[in-house]
Amino acid sequence: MSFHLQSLQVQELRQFTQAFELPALQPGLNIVAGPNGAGKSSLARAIKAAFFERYKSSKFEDLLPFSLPSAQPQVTLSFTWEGEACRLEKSFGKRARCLLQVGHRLLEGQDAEDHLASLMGFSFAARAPSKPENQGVPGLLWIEQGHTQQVADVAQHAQGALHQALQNLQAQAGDSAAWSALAATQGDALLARLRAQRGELLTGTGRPRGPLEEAQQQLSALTAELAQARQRWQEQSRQVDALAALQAQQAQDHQRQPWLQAEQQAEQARQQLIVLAQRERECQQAQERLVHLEAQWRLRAEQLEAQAGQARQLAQRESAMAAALAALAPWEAQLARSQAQVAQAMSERDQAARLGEQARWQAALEEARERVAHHQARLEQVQARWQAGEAVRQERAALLPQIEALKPLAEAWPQWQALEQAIRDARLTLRGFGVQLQWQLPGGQQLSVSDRSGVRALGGQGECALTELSRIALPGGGELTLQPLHQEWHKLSTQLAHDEARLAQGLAAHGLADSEAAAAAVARLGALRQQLALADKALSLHAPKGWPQLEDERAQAQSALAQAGQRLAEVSQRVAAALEDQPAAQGPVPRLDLPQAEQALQAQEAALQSAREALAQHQQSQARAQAAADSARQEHEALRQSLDSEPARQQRAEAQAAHAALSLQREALQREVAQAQAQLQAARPDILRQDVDRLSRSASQMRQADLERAQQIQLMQDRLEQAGAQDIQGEVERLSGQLAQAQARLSALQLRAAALDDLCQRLDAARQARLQRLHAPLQRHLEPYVRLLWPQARLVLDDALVPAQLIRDRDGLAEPLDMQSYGTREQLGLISRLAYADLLREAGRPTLLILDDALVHTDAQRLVAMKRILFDAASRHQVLLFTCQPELWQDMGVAVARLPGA
Amino acid sequence: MSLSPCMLGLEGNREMPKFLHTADWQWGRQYSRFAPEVAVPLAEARLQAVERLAALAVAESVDAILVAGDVFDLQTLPERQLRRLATALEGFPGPWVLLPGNHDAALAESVWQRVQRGGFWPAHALLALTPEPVLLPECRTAVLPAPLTQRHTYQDTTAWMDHAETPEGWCRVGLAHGSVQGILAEDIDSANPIAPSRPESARLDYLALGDWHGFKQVSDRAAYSGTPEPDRFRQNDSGQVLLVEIEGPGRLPVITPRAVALHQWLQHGQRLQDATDIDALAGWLAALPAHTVLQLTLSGRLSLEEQQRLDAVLAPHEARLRCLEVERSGLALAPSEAELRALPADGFVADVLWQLRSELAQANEALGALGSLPEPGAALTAAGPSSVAAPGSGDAARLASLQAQRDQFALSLSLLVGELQSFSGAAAASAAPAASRPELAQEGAP
Repeated sequence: MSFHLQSLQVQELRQFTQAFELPALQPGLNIVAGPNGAGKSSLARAIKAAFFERYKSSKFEDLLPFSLPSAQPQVTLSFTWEGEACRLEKSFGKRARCLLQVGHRLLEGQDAEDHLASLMGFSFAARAPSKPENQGVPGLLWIEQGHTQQVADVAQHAQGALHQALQNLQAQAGDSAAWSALAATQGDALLARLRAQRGELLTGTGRPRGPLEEAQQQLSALTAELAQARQRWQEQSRQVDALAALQAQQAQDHQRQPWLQAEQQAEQARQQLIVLAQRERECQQAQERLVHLEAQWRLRAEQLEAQAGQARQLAQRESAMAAALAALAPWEAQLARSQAQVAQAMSERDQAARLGEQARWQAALEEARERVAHHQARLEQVQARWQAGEAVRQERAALLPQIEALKPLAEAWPQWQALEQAIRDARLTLRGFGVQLQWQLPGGQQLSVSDRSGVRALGGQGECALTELSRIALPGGGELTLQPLHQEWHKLSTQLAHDEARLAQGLAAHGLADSEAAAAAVARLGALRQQLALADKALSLHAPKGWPQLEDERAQAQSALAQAGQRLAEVSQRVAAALEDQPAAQGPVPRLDLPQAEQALQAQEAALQSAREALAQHQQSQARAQAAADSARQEHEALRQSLDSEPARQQRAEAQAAHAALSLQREALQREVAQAQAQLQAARPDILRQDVDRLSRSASQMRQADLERAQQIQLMQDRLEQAGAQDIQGEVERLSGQLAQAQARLSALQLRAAALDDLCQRLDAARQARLQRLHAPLQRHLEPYVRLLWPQARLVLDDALVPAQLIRDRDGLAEPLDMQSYGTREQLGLISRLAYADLLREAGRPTLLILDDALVHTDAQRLVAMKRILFDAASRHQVLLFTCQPELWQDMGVAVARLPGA
Repeated sequence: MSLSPCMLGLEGNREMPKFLHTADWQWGRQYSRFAPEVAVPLAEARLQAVERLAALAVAESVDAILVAGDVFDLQTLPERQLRRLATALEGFPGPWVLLPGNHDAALAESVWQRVQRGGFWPAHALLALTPEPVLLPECRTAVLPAPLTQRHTYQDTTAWMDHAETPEGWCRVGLAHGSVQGILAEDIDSANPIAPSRPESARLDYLALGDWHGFKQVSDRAAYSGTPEPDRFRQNDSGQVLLVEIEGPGRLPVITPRAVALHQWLQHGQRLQDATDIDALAGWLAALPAHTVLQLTLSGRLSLEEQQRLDAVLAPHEARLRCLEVERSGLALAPSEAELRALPADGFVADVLWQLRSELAQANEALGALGSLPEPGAALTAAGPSSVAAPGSGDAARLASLQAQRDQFALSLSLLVGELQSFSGAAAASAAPAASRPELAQEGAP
């Protein structure tokens, strides 16, 4: 019981405008009860103000009574500490002051306050009012209304004191060597700063970040870049080397010129080919010659063969000629006999023929005489009819022209009659229309009237009807025109004039004066026609088949008579001639009957014919035999002559000689050709051609390759020229330098990161080790309290010595404190504070517990337990418990002080 | 090269040929291992060196300048760079004889083709691209070049000089790029070999050599001029050109090195044990000219405070010098107990702090046992065979892993200390726990 608050006096402070004192406070539990507003919290506040607020503070408004703004709040505390009586007087406001009496020592003002702070374990805020973080141990132990459950923050603020308390405890327990020093308030801050520095370089899991990561990335980027640049440079160097190699090759090739060799070899092969081709041609020519020679040779052979054939043929022909001559002889004898027979037959036939001729002429003469007589008679008959007919014909011929002349007139006649009739009718009608002209003219005077029909002279006296338009010429030149008025008149007069004109015209055309003449002509025509009909009848009697027939008959009869007379004359002449021809020597020629004579002749003729035929047959046979014999002889002769001739003999000799020569030549040429062909084959021109191809292609390829190489060299030079301007090598240098610098920077950063990481780990480990040791005493104090609530339970403390987890059962789960009910947290908060108080007390620190309406959320059952806890705690600490429910706390074994009601 | 100038009788009346011998310009070199602000001036300095040697040639009235290979660093230099060099060559109007080396070998397509095609190349800068005599009638000298036509050859390209015909009574000067056999250290490119007897066998009055970047006289008649502007740390006597005078055919040449370099390249090792060593280093650094490229290798053990002091010493020189590279791998951080106790560390932070210190100390000791913490100045002689401990490959791997571990511990510790130091300022306001801190820290000390 080192710290004991004995009394508390307040004046001019909130409700307590008058002086009020809580006297005779006990070392253990003190319960102060009062209704709401009676001033419980004001008293707790007064104690806080006395300790925490600087007396010079101007921020004390909340201490002022409502009714006295100019009041001077005043707190006086009497307490004992370590057996010394102490008294603290603090006034705020105009006459602010602070007096601390410790035994006989009197401290004043700030000295007093600082002494008090170090004694109690708190600090002052740099500027009023006091803040929780300054209130330290008292803040922890003095629980304001409704803050019981808040432990973490206030425990943190009191941590220095707590740690010290723990250290002191351990020091006292002799555990000094390893656990004496706890990095009090600074340690965690330092660790936090180092962690922050580490955090700049490393992530929580230790991976690089920030500058370290950047440095790594930069390094790898530079490494890659450098590798690339190096590669480019190496590539360029390679290209330079390749260029040099190419140039060297080029120089070497230009010196050696390998294509020339290939070209020369190709040329040689080509020359060989040309020679071979020449040989081939020659060989071919030899072959052709051989062919030609063989043809000649064959020809000669054939010639020899032909000559041998001819000799054989001559022998054949000789025998053929002999046979033909043998066959001819019988045919010649037979022929002579046949000729004699024919001569006989001919003479006999001539005799018979003469006799027949005579007989035939005799008969013909008689027949001719008969025919003349016949034709004479017929002619006379026809002549008589013709003469009669001829007379009639002449008569008729005279009639016909007359009839013909009248025929058209007769045809026109009916027309004229009709016209005349019309004219008569018209004139009658016109007369009806006409005027009667009567004139009486003195003598000498004449008038002429003219109309259509003409001009009439009128003289004297007279009258006439004028039926048509008439003009009367007056003496002295005038004229009267008379014209009927009737309309029909005009038409009729015009028609009449027309008809009259037509009639006159028709008559005139036939040369007739008028119609009477026409009628006479018609009558004459009828008479003529009757005469004609009579003549025709007479003629048909004389010539019933027509006149021309009769004429023909007459002509025929005349010509037949003439012919017959001519025939008679001819025959008579022949007969006379034949009689004169008859040789007188033969005597009188018997008058032969014609048929007999002809029969005899025919017999003689037939005999002659057969004799002739026999002769002809024999003649033919003989002729054939003769021809065969002639031909055989001729052929034989011809052949013999041709064979025996000098040219033929020479030809034969020549042919034999030529054949022999040709045979020799042929064999020689055959050998030659065979040899040449063998040589050609051995020379392999196909391979030579391949050589030419191969070598010339090689040469051109080499030249092409050289050309391409030149181009490639040019290309490479250009490219390298361009590349040379890019300073790749410099880039490599630069990058190497940068890389080295990046490497150095990375190393430095890595070292720093490793050092920081190591440092943080070390600090962490050291801190944890420390904390583990620190927890033990606090745990020892906590556990009895907790067990009063839950017999099996245990509270787990965190690094800051604040309860963090509750384990209710032995093997139960650790429940975070935040998850507990408000009531439970309130209870645990109070328990924690009691444990802190125990710890502090053990460490020799003053402990005073002030509970302002604590445990209001605690149920009755827990409250019982809490009362036991509180009672137990009060046996070690002074406890001021303010409550508005005094009946709850009547069983705490102490009197309940009651504040006067407000 | 045609012989016509000689045949035309354009013979100089100078009795004593005099020329500048230089090599390995490597124009266009990028120095890409350096940051750009260092690399660019270093690259520029190479061109300035050419300008300076042109000026020197004019001042000395030499007859010609012979460049023994590696005129260009790269085959693919941008045209602008080529033009710039062409401009620099205008500084000396006499003949320049330029020889292709291994960097700029006269390949089938090379930087030389681009130079020839470009149309900007000065006529008096003669390209010795083929092994034919280059006749300099003004000084009655025939230059016999041995151009490299491949990047690496394994035949002696100078062999042709033995049979090269030159005008009677003229000096014969060989120009070659490669390694004179048996003379140079083994780690020089052994490709492009050159017979050491070449001056005698080819009756050369002088053989101007290139490839080795430092000045090195091989014999009475043969020398490497070195590069006119140094570009490496490990080389001796670079940054010079050689003024060569020959009294006449058969006479020994007089060779005078002349410095033309702008930058000096230094490697320096320093073992740091305490504050006095740091002060000594500060004094040494202050004496260096600004045109210095320095590789500083530090070793030893430093407390926290000493390390901060060292950083403070180095910082201004990093800005002042052309380049300052500091190798600290041999430098062990060894914070003292007192330093650690002074830190506002308690509780688990203190645990870790002491734990780290202990492990760092162990790692340092393990490394020390392996001999990897070199003695002061060891880096300088690293090239020499004596200094190479030549650990086995397994040891090397173990060494590397130990070093990495040590570095990590050191960094962890530094980080923690830094954080705590930054806290200590902020924590001053917080009064409460301060009182008990030293006491607690002391308890925690091993």
